[in-house]
Amino acid sequence: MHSLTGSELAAAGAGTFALLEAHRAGQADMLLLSAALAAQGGATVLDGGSQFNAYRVTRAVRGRTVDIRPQLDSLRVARAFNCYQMLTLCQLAPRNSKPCLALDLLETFEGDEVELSERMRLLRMCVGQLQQINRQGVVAVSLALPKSGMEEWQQMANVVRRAATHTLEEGFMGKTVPTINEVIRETETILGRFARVLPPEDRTALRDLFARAKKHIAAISEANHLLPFETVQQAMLLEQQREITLLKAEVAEIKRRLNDH
Amino acid sequence: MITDLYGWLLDVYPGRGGAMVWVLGADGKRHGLRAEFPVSFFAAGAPHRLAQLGQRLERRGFPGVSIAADQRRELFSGEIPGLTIRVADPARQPGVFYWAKRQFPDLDYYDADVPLAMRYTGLHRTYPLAYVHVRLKAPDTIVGITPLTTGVDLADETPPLRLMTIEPNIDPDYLTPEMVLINAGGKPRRLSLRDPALFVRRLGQAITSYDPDVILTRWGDTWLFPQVLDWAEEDHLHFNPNRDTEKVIQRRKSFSYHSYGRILHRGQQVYLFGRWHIDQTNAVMYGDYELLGVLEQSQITGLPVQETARKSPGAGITAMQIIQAQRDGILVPYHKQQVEDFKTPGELIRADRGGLVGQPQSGMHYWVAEIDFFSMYPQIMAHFNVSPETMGRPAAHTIPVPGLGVEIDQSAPGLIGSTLQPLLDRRFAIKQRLRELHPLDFRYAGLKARASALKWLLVVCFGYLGHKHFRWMKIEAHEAVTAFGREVLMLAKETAESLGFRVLYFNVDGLYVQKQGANQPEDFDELLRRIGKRTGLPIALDGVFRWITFLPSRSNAAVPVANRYYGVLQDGKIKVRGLEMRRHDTPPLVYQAQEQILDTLAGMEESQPLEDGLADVLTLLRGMVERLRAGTIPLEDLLVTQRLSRELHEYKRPTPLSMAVTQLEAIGKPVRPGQVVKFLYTRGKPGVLAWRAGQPLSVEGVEVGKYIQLIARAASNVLQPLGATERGLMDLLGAGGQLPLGTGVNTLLAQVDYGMEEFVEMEVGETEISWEMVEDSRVVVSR
Repeated sequence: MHSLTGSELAAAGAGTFALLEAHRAGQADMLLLSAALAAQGGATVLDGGSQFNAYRVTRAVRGRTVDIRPQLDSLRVARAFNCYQMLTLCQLAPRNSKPCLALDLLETFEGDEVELSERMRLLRMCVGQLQQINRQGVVAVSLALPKSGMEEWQQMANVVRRAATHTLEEGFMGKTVPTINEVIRETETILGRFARVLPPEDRTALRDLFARAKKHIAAISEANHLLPFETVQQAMLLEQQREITLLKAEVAEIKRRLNDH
Repeated sequence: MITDLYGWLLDVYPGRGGAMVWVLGADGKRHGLRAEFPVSFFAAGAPHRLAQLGQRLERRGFPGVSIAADQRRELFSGEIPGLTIRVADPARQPGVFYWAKRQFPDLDYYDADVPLAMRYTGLHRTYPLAYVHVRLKAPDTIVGITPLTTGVDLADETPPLRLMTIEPNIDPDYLTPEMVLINAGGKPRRLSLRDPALFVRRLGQAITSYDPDVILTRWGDTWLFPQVLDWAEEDHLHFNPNRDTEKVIQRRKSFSYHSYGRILHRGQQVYLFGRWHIDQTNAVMYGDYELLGVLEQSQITGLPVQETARKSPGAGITAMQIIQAQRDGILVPYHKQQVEDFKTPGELIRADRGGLVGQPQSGMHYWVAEIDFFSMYPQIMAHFNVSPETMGRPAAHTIPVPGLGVEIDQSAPGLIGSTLQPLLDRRFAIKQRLRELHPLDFRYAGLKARASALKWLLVVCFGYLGHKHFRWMKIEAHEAVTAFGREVLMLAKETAESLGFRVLYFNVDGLYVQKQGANQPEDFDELLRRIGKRTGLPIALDGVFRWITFLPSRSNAAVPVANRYYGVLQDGKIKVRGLEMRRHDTPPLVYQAQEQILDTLAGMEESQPLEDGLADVLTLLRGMVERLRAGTIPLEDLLVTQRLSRELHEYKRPTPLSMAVTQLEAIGKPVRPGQVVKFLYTRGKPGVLAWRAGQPLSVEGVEVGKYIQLIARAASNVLQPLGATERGLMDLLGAGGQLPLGTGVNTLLAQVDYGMEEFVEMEVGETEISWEMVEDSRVVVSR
């Protein structure tokens, strides 16, 4: 089966059914694919494993455009938490020319809460629905390799493999919405190279800025900003402003005492 | 002829072609009664497929099955057409349903897997332990049953249950028991296990002659009954501890499961008929609320007592919802397939969030009170009518979910609110009664256990809204609760600030507020009244602190962390979060060390700086270390208790836990994920010894240095604001003087002891000098 690159897939049309099989950590390129498709008119995303990291998609969209809102709004996402819900989502997904992505399709089919024969029946119906969607638009499905129960998983994966026309390469993974703490930590890591170039005293100042921003995690989280690091920077400014006000007051007090003398 | 019987309902299960109902009569007798109880399930879907199902069922000719075209109410869609399939003998219903489902998997099924006890509770409005009026057609057939109590009134009389306790003389996981201790009606007996056949006979006789309603055991599920049944089989003996002798013991297999991100394990289970068997060591939360709590949960949820004891509170909540749905005439779906609405990424980010948690102001504070919303999330569900079916339903009267743009129908009570209201009312009534009673009143402990059992139901009911096993799961309802929670908390914070309070910390449903001079409960009355009025939710004062210390991060003292603090309340009680004392894996010795340090600090005068207590703290820690070195601390106090979180082969690197598990497996005691393992840190390799490994261990084998380190770490976490560090404390406690291999304990102890005394005498007055100082974490006294 021919393997597609991301750009090839983004440019593909109806009849292309692409399959990514990767470890959980390797699923993140589906998010980048979502961002790329957002720039081309949008997509439907069916999320079976709480994989849709909205912040990561937003950052990827932001990397392409300043005006992120219309592009983000062109993505429609819904999550399934069990295999019956996954089937219902596949049935409800719009039949149009927009691509349809199914993230971690088999996640809700794992475990023995539902009999295997019933899961197989539901999965075949899911794949049938995806094939219907595929008549009008691209379908891309990702499967995350399981930690255990490999035999059952292979049996289920075969159902999806049979429907696939192309394969995809492995990427990264994320969870639905990272915490603000994670966003800050990730940004600190990204700025690691920036910090290396700085002299030691500036590095300390930078560390201090991040430490102070963390005092406002609840407020940053409450701001609901699509790009939370911008609010983190606001928290840094707030801390600086408070310091300035404090110092001003102290200077005024010192002046007053000097004048009294 | 019709006769009347009054009494308490004990047990309901399928039997003798209908329902078997056990009643503890007001006359003191135990009555095994039979009731006709046909049950039905409902199928919906494509009309031609329903017609085919009807035809196939008729051809198949199941006995006692009747089929009728029907119209029933589905929670989301309203009235739906379908087939009602009625089965006269409830024991046969599962068989008929699974046959239908296999033949017609494409149809939707409802009311298909509701256990008989829940159907009975739903139909007759009874519940376990309800006081009922039964009308009987002689001699034992029920023609009518009416509950005379509601299960909510605190004045309801509790039945005079006969209790028998059975336990072996030692944990069978650790050593082989030699005898079993039985207590029936206050008369203790010991039965030797030397002759198993004799033991089986004597145990059977003891149960038959006392005829208990409750058999309360330790290891009854996992050892006693399975073992007794094996012995009985080997010697061809008759042993049946059921009151209903037509039934045999029901055994359920052990299993591992996930709950709130943890993997847990439930051992095999032994259920009895006509009486209850509860194994304290295999019951959920038994240590928290004991037998009375189990009965309370069973009574309010409708879940049978034996199931309540062994299942999580989530099962209780599910039972309540199913019973409520049945009473409201709502179909109970077999599959959960209500899905999330399609959202944009922005909408997802706004909706997919939890409760609001602030960062506390690190340091020590005075004049602080903790105020908490009473069962915030359940109250939100009831108050704002948050329920799967009310979300986004068009109606004349709706209210918006803050920040999410979803409207909630307020025109009629939703399923969730109707389910929770009696629970909230009952817990509120118990809490009120507890306030009126003196803690030494004989009723106090029982009510406290009942309140705790109800609390757990309320705790899990929110999580269940978003749980994949919830029958009517609708993620938007789950998200609406947290959205209201965040808004309500902010309203409370703003109200406090408008009254001149400083909010030091807030965490989902509680706030820590401070105002200079405010140290009496009445100083917070106006605040509570205003928050209650503004939010519409009940809020109460949890306590006023003499002082409270919010601890910063261990790795960076400039960074505050949520939920890590300790404080002393006005009545001298200590409240702790995020320290070793709150962890389940902390050895009892380390727990005691931390507890005693806090007791020392709590016992100080309010005007005294905490630094003045350091000498006493050091003395007590030294004493503890001396006893540790002398080997006078019982080994049980050194046990680390950890839960196996995955299969042994999934551990990439050996950990103390995985090594202990390996030792157990080597002696034929396999451990399943979710099971708890106890072990000791020992000298030499591999450095741990599993407690159940059976080999006796002398105190010389204990790795004293490791325990000193744990004590030092626990102490440093409490004393962190005073500049203490783990390293500094290790030095002060002489951790360098570990016992080398092969040296007599006493000789070494003398050396170490001398060294310690000299060291401490020199340093105790100048502790600050010898301790590493962390400038930013110095005590912040806001007085």
